[in-house]
Amino acid sequence: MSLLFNEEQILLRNTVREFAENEVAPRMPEILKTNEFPRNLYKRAGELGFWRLNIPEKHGGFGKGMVETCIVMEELAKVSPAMSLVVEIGIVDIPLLLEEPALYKYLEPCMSGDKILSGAATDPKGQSNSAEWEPLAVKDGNEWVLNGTRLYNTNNLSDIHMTLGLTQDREMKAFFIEKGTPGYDNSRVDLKYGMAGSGGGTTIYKDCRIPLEMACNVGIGDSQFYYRIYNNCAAEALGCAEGILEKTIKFCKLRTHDFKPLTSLQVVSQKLGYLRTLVEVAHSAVYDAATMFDELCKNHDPELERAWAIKAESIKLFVSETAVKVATECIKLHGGMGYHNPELHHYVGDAMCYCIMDLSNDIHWDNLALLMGLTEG
Amino acid sequence: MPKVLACYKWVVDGADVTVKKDLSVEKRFESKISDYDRNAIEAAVVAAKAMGCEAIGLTFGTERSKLSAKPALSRGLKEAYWINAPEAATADGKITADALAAAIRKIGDVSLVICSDGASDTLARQTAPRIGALLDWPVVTAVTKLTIEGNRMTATRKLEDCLEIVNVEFPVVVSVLPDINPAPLPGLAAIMGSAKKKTTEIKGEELGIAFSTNTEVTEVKGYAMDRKNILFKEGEMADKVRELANVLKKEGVF
Repeated sequence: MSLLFNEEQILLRNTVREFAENEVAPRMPEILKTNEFPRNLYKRAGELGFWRLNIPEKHGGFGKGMVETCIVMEELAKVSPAMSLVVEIGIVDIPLLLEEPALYKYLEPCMSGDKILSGAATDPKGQSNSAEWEPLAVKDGNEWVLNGTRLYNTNNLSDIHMTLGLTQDREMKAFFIEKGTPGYDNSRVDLKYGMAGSGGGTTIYKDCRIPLEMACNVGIGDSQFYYRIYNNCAAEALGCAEGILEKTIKFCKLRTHDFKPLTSLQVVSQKLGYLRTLVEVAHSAVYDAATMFDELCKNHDPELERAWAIKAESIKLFVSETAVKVATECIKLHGGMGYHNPELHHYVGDAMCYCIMDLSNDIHWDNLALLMGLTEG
Repeated sequence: MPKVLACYKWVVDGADVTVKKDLSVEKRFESKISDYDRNAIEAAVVAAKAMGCEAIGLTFGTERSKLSAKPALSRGLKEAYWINAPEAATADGKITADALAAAIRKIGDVSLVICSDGASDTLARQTAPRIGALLDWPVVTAVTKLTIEGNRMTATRKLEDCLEIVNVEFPVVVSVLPDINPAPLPGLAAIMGSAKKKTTEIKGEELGIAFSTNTEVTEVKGYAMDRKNILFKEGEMADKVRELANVLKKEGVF
């Protein structure tokens, strides 16, 4: 237990933990087998209020900050990194619905889990580097006409789809498209290395027309929007590492070698201690950055923002690499019983996702060098 | 307005307890509302709704049990009372019931007290009967269904081999089994709302009771399952299986 959390945060953590263990864990075999997330689990997440977490109270949310968001991400990811990911998409993207009055109508259905919101932000050309993207939307009278493709989306079997794209004036906007809109095809779901059930795939827009008011601004310079995602991602990676480590420690206590538990072997207990150390450091780093962000929201200070940006980049890198390390070592400790069990080995593929999602870690190293003043943009 | 009061206990989380080699028990930080008490709280919230009154909570514990207020309030209670007494750390069933009954008198206007059948740490199952005796109220135990009808209630009791239906007039003390409800998980709205609800501390000395007991817990030991570590090496596979079956028979497995 971390003494960092206040009473309310501990209660939040325990509640999400109980939900994950009692309601999500029993569904994992089915999710891993079908690569589909049960619709009623989305609804349940909405009932519990996960998507209201960082929405201002005047709009029906709880007005909470990054620490609470990380708590939800971490606890869900311990059991299901994929569920943590789909919840994160809502936590990050639903606040965009407040940016444009015409989008308000989706706010309550999305927060309550009645409607699922998906997010797309990877163009085939330039991938994460939006400077290389071709324009996605062209204005035609009272409508935007969208043409293009987005890869590696999450939740793409959704009711409302959000895609980031450039206008012909190279202005970055978030475009919202309702399921069934002609010219919008989100039917492709990829069989990925990890994150089974997160519904990721390719979306195609072909002369897809939406009203002008179905778009809102997302400034490409809005660094907080992106750095927030890195903090969330690090919290998910942390939960993923903790989830497989907890299972592995239990396993090593029960599994015997020469009538003695595996933990009686020094090589095993030392390795578990080392992995626990990595997780503890990751935990401290994630919540340090989250606390710093919440402080930044209260008192905007450019110096603090720069320090936080470096921290957000660093923790996304460190914790995602840690998750891969922890998950891989844990599966090795399980031996064949881990390699042959999807309920265990999914953590390896899931952990790898954190090294790639949002921005690949190689791009993060590059960004970090830039923020440190080592290179020029 | 009459109140429905749920008694609950703040216990060490079993998941945070380690049984060591010498069977001594190491308790760490984590505590929680006793598992079955969640059902009692939910039963109180449901009963209060049917009676058109408020459900409140009451716990008896040390300084640390103050942390139980928000988790209890997030489960739908309007107000939480907390008896703060260091003696709670070593209290037996008598002291616990003395403290709770005195606090119930002090709070006043309580029509229905709901306890769980037993706490998840001690499972002594004494609290409800003792509170009833001290208040001189009827006690209905092992309740799996509760229906409110004006100033009376009908309770279904789950006994060893039958169900018993009891109709009783308020005030009454009830102990419920987990079957009574699923004790739903509180949502985030309820968690955030719990901070705005009232928590009242009652100091142990305010109750005017003697915290003395003739019972002393001398030791708490865990139990551990040992492996027999028998390896069947001799003979063919059929011989090994036969030998295994013999050992299992001797152990009384079948």
